[in-house]
Amino acid sequence: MAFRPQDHSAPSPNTAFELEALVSQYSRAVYAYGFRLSGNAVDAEDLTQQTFLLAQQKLHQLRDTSRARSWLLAIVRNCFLQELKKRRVSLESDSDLQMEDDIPDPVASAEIDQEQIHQCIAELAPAFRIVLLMYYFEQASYKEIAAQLDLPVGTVMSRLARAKSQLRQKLTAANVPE
Amino acid sequence: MDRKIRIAIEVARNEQDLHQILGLDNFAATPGQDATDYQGPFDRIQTWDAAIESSLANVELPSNLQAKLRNSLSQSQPTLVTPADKPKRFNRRQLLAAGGIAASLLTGYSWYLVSRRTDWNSVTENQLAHWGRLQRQSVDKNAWIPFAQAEQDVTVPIKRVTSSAPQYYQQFHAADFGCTAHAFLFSGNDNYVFALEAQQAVPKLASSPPTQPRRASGGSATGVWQSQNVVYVAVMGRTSDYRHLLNTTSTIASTGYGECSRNVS
Repeated sequence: MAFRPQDHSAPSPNTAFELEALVSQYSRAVYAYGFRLSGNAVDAEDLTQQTFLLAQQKLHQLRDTSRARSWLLAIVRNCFLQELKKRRVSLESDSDLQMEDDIPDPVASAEIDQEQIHQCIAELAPAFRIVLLMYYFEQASYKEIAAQLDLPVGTVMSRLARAKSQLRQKLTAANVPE
Repeated sequence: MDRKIRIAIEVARNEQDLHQILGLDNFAATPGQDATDYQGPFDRIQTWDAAIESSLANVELPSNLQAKLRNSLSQSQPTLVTPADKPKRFNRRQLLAAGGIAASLLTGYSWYLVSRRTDWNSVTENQLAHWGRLQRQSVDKNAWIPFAQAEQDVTVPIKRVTSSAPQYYQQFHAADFGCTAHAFLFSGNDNYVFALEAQQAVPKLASSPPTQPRRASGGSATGVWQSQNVVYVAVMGRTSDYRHLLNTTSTIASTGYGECSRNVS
């Protein structure tokens, strides 16, 4: 779990010094989330910058520093959703993703091809991608995802299950020796 | 596998979560089902999740990302405006009232200067220093009123003045020179030395007491000079008192920030 909150004794974020600490500690996680959400490095860098600028303005809202990571990732996600809104990208989905019949044997993280996983995520419709990435990055439960995206719980459960299944199928197919 | 169970094992974060989703009692009552039916698939999915999560986080960062962020943040310092920071605006009625109070103060002050003339040496150096410390702590920041006329008497423009009555000493006045200086009045009956704490030297202000006093309202003799970022304003009842001040060889007042004496450096 690379991006779990690690420092529960972080200083109270009221000063520039503490903002600097957030940059040092969480810029990697923020950028990674932005990269997976947007699918490219340029947008990811913009999202990262937007996130920390907003964090600078709203630093006083962060009262519990142990939640700094989830607070920052929520800002990334909201920036991304606003960008989708500007581009009139809908979070409705008519995708017919199906779940695999059998759950394949797991592979080790090191065996997952980086380009392959990036491609798989990028190919998912935004409606599925956002749910999937909130689950993996923000450690959000299906209920939390539903609440944050203002979607019915059943819809989120279905999308999350199908997106995960789809991802595994593609990664497994990529790992099958020819 | 039942679709409901399949979705549950996909979205559950742990077994407790899974049981909650399925409503274990209902699940156990389902004919032909028991926990072993979903435990294997659930474990495989959990292992997949850990691998995917780790892989997703493994992203190559752009060069100098943190440096760019710091640069961007340093150029965009937030300006937090709290109600206390907002400049206070006065309406016409308040201004008139303040003007009236200022005029009354001026009149009273002038009367005080004229009516109570005694010898300068009646106030000791220690008393002055003691009062200075007490008075500095006693200023009520809410009691300031506009005071424009004072700039005719001294060369440093006074914006506001306040007068209070600390329990230790009745006559106490303080003047506000904006953000650069505050004055604390050391009262020696009708002879006064204001010590103004300035953040920087006042341009074109003498660095030693002028040999010839200026005449101020009420007939007082005044002299203004500065030393080590402390501006001194001497208000003497008579010209002879002023000359006596210049001839004084010892320190006559101390503010804790500087001393007022004839031999200022």
